[in-house]
Amino acid sequence: MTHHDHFLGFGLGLRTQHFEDVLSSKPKVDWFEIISENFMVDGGKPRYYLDAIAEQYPIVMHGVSMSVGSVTPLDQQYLTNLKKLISHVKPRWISDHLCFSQAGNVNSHDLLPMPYTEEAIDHIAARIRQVQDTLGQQMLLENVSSYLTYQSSELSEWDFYNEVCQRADCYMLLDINNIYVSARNHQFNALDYLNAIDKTRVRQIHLAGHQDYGDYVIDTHDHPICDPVWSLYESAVQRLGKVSTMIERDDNIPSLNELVNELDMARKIAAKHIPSLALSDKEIINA
Amino acid sequence: MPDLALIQQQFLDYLQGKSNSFSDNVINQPPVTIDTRLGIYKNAYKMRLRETIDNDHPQLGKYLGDELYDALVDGYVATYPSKVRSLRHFCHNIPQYLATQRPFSSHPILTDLAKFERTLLDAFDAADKPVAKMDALSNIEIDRWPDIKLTFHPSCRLFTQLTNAVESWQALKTDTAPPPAQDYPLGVFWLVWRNEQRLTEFANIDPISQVLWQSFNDGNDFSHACELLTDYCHEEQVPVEALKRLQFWINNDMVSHISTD
Repeated sequence: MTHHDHFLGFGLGLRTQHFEDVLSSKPKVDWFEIISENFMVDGGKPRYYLDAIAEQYPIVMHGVSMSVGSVTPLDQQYLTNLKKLISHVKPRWISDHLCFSQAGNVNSHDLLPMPYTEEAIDHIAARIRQVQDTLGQQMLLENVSSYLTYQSSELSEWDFYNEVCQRADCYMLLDINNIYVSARNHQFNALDYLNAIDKTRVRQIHLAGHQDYGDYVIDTHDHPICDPVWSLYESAVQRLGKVSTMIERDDNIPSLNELVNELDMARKIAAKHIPSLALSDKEIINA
Repeated sequence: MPDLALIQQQFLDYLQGKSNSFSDNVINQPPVTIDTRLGIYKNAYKMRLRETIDNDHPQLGKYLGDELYDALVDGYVATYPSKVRSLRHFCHNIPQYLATQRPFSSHPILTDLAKFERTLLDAFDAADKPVAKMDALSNIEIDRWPDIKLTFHPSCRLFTQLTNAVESWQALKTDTAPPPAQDYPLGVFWLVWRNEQRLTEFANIDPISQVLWQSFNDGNDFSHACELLTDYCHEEQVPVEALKRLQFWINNDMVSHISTD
């Protein structure tokens, strides 16, 4: 089975502001990604809308707080809650980030970068295997944006990412905007990153906007996707082929229609290089 | 070479303003200074926690005004660094913080305001459960009425205010000036719940309702609850007063199950 067998088409992050609109307008979106933690509640509106939308669209679950890189023990209660949500939502797959959030008993609620060391690879790969065993499925791991480089790093980020995913036997959620942001912040060539990635492991792509401060860039998810990121996405499509792609927008959230139009840009770019994507939407989903 | 555990602890210490030793782990990559790079993370840490307080406690923020609100945010983040997985629970200790830290502790209405906003949040995403309808009550044989027990909807909870916090919250919600703070030494009671349309509601209730609700919520039956009401009204009025309240709760989606077991 190759990663192409898991192609869902073009999706959006499901956000509270769009719940009603999704149900009433049934937008031209092939699938939705949810933030898992937002639905780890007992009931009420979030769960109601999720259930209604999941009846009409494929769902994937994206976590932000597994803190798989932390040295503190994995939070078993969190994994239990995640497993319960997986069992309810039946997502096509689940993902989280290649990072740590917690040290000791304090949580930063941020996606903090790991040092790219052998020690970190061993640690994270073992933790991901533990998570996958607990959940009974392979997960996707996303590359994060970073603003600093550790003295102790021994590898490039892409070699580190490849190695972790290979040793953990997990898939990749490749965030194209994060590659761009980190490339700007650390002055490497984003194409070097893209070209080094083990393409057999990439199952999903994230696209997003950021804020550009000239000398550095901050990953904010509050702007439309900029031209250099679209260009990098085009390179990704050329190299990786057909990969489920979605847009993340977490702040300054525009209308659903505006995001659907932005998603059409991703469709057009992908269709330029993958003839089968020039088919109708229904055929895209079934391709 | 520092190990992973040390780097991670130093990073979190830096974010919390406890130590700057983390910067020794970071490579200098001009033209962006190490301070700027680390500052991106520190700003994000502060902003994220502040936004969580903003979202959870909008009316408390308005009541405090900018200066005191900034003091609350800084003080709370420093005193109660997040130890929770989800930001949904980060503000859990705000009522406690306001009750114990000056200058806030001199104004008990602040604790009540925070508690009320947390009660609304708890009702918002409490567990789902079907609600009982009036026919479930009217179908019960009259001789089984003493045995009636109620299970309230998981979202339904009693809020007791010792100040005029809810009235102030209502004023702030409509962007009008809150009334002067006032103490209610005997307590004033509200029921907070989520209706079938998943909208959070609240209603002021009298002491009879409070006693009755508490008794049912503790698992007691109708006869026990009615006995308690004899302290509040004439014996012959007790069934009527109790029934009025049961009807109100059922008609407003507060009751999930009615049994006579």
